[in-house]
Amino acid sequence: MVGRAEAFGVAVTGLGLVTPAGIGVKENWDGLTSGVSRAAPDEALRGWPVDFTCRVPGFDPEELLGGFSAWQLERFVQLAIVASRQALDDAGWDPATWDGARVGVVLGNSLGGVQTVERQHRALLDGGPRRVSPLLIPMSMVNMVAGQVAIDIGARGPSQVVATACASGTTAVGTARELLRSGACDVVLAGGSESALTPLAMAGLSRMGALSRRTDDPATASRPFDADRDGFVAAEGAGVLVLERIADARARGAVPRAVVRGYGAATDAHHPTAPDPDGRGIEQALRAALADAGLGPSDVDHVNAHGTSTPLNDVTEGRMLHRVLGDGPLVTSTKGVTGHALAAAGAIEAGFTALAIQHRSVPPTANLARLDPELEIDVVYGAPRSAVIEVAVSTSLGFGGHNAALVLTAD
Amino acid sequence: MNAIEERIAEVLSAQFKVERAAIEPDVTFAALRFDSLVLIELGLILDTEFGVEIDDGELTNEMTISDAAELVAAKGASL
Repeated sequence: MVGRAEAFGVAVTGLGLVTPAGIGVKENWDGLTSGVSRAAPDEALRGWPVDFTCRVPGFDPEELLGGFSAWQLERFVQLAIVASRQALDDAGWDPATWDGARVGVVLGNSLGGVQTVERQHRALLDGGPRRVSPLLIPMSMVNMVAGQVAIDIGARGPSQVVATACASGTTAVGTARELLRSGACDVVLAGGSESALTPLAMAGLSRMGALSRRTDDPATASRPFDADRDGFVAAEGAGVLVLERIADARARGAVPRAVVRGYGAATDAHHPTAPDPDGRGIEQALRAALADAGLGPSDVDHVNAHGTSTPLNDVTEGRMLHRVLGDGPLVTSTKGVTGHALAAAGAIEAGFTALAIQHRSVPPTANLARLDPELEIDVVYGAPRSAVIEVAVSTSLGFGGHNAALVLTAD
Repeated sequence: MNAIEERIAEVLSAQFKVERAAIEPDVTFAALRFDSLVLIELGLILDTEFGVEIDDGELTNEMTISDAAELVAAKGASL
């Protein structure tokens, strides 16, 4: 066991991934190790200043969930349900056999059912209030992603949605661990989901200047830590982890993919959207996560960085990582492949971090050709790098100045 | 199925993604798992489809597709 004896570890016994890299754990790992970006022109945004995104390829909700069920669910909920079913299957849990009252759900989301809101706003403008669907509210509320997953799997313990913008998925894992630590739950599905690739949301992100404008070559647009990066590529996706206390997991014969051993969170209290220029919030979150795990900076072998490919994030985060962790860890940003799935990103990347530990391999940062000269960290690019990973960190930063970090270790 | 029932069946299949095989004139909305909110949504769509005005709550989940067709016909549905 890695870390201080009193550090509280929870086993990651199952993983569900529905991302631009693929649908399923194996598909995602293959996609990540290929190092090929999934950004592509988006039909819904044709003719726009930013006309490309990272969508989940081949996601067919009617096929996966049944037509009538899929029709009643917004896409961010559909993605989460599919990821949750995968994660339970991976964990070897059958909802027919568990005590649902002991099962919790904690998921991150930020923009909710913005597709439904846009459609119904048009109905309102065109036809007046009576033309607005009674399903507008239940389909678009952010908490519905947790509520609907709970319905789907029969989870009757505590459930909630956490919203720390792009850190939400990481916050969800940290929050879920507390439900296991307190004894409120025996099993918690923790994760995040987002699908907001709509004209309105994309126009808003674009007007903030957050998105890459590399429209001539979208596949090279998401290039975390590269000297020529110019913004992130918006993505959709969901990631769900099944978490259990280690002793419980062992007692039922489950084989953990990894252990979540530390969590830390902190707030910049600086600016609504710009990160603290010195990365003080994310540094505080990272140091808190390491302390929580009973580990020191020199123990860290691998970092799955937030690495969004925006000019500000990557230089701030990269400098912070070097300041706190030194030259040692192998750093990657899997957003080069997947783009940035906002509130889902932290959960997807916690899953990727667990897979890196398991496979003893750090996937490459797609499109990194020339490391930002301001940075001194060891970023993996070109091809995966083999390494024994005992301790890994996943970092997330969100609009609002929310920062969160997880420490994952080998079982 | 009569012409109105056929049109309702088509709406249920195309817009609500209800499995075609489950759609019979005597099947109730409860059996199709329609709750009160989905029935209001159905009313909105049938309003447009048939040029009628169905009030919220007029369609209930004990009704069959055939009952809904009669309601629409009684309101002077234009086919």
